[in-house]
Amino acid sequence: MTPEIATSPLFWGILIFYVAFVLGAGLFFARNNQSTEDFFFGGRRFSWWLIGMSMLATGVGSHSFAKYASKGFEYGFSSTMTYMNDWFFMPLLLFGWIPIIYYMKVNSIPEYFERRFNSTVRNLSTFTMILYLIGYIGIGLLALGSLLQPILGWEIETIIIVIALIAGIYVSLGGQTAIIFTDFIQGVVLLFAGLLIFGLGIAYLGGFDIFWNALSTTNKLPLADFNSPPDFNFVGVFWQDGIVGSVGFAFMNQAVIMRFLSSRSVVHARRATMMNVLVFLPIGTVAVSNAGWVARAITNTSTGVIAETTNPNTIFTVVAGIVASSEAVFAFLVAAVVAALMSSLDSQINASAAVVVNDIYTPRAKNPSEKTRLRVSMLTSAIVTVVGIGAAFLFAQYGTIYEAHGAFHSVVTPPMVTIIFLGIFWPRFSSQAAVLSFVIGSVFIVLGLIYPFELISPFAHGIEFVEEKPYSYIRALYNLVACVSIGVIVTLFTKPPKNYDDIKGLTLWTIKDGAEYFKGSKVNPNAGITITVPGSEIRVSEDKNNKVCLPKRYMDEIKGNPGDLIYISDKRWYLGGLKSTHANLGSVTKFDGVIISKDVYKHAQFNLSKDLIIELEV
Amino acid sequence: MDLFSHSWLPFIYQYSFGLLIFGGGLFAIFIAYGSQKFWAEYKTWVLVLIWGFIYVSSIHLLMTIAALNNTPQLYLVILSGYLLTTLILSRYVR
Repeated sequence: MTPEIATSPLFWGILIFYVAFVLGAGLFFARNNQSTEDFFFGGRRFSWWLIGMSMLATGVGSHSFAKYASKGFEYGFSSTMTYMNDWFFMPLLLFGWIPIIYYMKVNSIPEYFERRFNSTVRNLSTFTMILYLIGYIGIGLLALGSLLQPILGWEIETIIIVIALIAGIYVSLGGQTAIIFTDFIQGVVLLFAGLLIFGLGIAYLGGFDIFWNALSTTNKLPLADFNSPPDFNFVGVFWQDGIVGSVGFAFMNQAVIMRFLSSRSVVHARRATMMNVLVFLPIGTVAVSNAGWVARAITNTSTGVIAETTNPNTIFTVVAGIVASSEAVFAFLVAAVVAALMSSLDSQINASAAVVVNDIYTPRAKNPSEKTRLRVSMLTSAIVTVVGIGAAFLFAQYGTIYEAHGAFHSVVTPPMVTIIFLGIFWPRFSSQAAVLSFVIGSVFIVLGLIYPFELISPFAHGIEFVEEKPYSYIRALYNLVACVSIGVIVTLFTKPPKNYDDIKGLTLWTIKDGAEYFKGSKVNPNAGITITVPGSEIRVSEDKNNKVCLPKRYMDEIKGNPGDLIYISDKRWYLGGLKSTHANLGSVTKFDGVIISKDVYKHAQFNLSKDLIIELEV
Repeated sequence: MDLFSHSWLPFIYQYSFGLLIFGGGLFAIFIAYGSQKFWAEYKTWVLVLIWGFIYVSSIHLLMTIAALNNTPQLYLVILSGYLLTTLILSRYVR
């Protein structure tokens, strides 16, 4: 059924339109990139709603549709449980980690590690982070290739190359701005498609009551059984995905860090995160899982439509093929899965390039100019894409490496998460402890892989030991305990630092210094006051600096002082900050209007026939 | 069929640890920022954080009751909570 639909002109028309859209976005937004700050962080100017939706799109990949729909088919509503734990960490994320990285202008996790600890920790984390990101790119490409192969009928290698080239081109040209805007659209598309398939599934079954009654009680419970079966139990998934995975995604994932840093302010980064977790993510959870629930209901009510032996990983495509009422709907659902991959892939490519440029190239180059760094960034994005294709081929050739990547993930994440957490919340946590948590922690984790029964059983909560895949989820708890224990013990047995001046602004307990560091002078208590200025009152000077000069009446209204930081933006909210920039207040001007420098004007790309808003920052 | 290990046991486990992490985090930021100053400056945010915890736990609570008692109508309450949360976050959190 699916190949016939796939080869129709309408199907191809929709896919080609989609590809043209993302490539066009890359070319359109390329003009916004004047520096690496623009390329990697979009000029730090975007509104919460753009950032929030793009964070969701980054988190939901094509593998999510395969993975959560398959769990939904096997176990029911409990497939959603891994998405619902993020709120536990919100106080620490919103008021600890986000202000630390934003105000201290931390561009990457390895950079934070050097500033908080030393260059050894930075180098260790750079190496592991790049391996992790490239592995992530390869797995994503392979997952989509496997999903599309039966529909398109192409060789899997061809699909991987074509998809990677499309993503590589628009990311290399458009940078973070292209990613954020296309991710917003792609996020909306994938949410809509996910809900559409749910609605079509309910209609196919004959109504919600039939759907509800077709599922067993255990299918409808939101959490899995406490400790069985071994391959999907509550307690294992809670520690792996709910604790280590959630912290890893929010605190360690370079792509997510870059979203925080692309926000126009700390407040907007916080709002984006809140909206993502409480508003977008619940819909996303239903969107990626419900094909499995519908499949389970169909299987329980109609024999022969979906075989019990169907490979759970293909359930999304199977259900889409059954419930889609037309070729156009089916093509749209397939395009949504492509969109899901693109929105994760673009972020990982950009994030990998950021780590390479920020943590490998820049520290070793001799004061490269901004122009050179920008070129290197674009080139690195292209190279990372090619390496990602290589990783996908490798995974495709050796099927077991897919599992190896999962094991690698479980080795990399706990030490990084431990060091970030202890680094933020315990000023005494020392550089030696960080290095040893990394190195010895990894050794203990590998020992856990070799001797799972002996080492992980005490943490198993009664989960059955299975020889082939021993303690596949609960090992995250063992890994975490091993790394934290080493960090705490080494710190307690080493001398505490004589003073904490070097880590000002880098821990929760020294966070008050962050805002002052960001601004470069005393914080203005009136921050947040916003004024509107008619475009007709704006004049552009020939000055090459980052200043905006206000007349006395506006200066009094905004309660600012020369040197204060301001955010100046086109008033049209739906641009999401695309036409905006950060600047400094200059001295009071006698001109009865606002004077902005040529650089500010050029960077923000204002339309002076439109009103602007000016907000006092920090 | 005893469904305790499939329903209330994981719920209690998850929200016991969740409360510990969430409460510990809230306590830590109050101490780090200075409790009175933090409350004065971020009162709305703190209330939304607490509301978020109640909201997320109530989703699991209502889903569990709906499954055990065969009352799908409770999903309308979940939907109402969702809409209310969306309204609060989009209109009142600045």
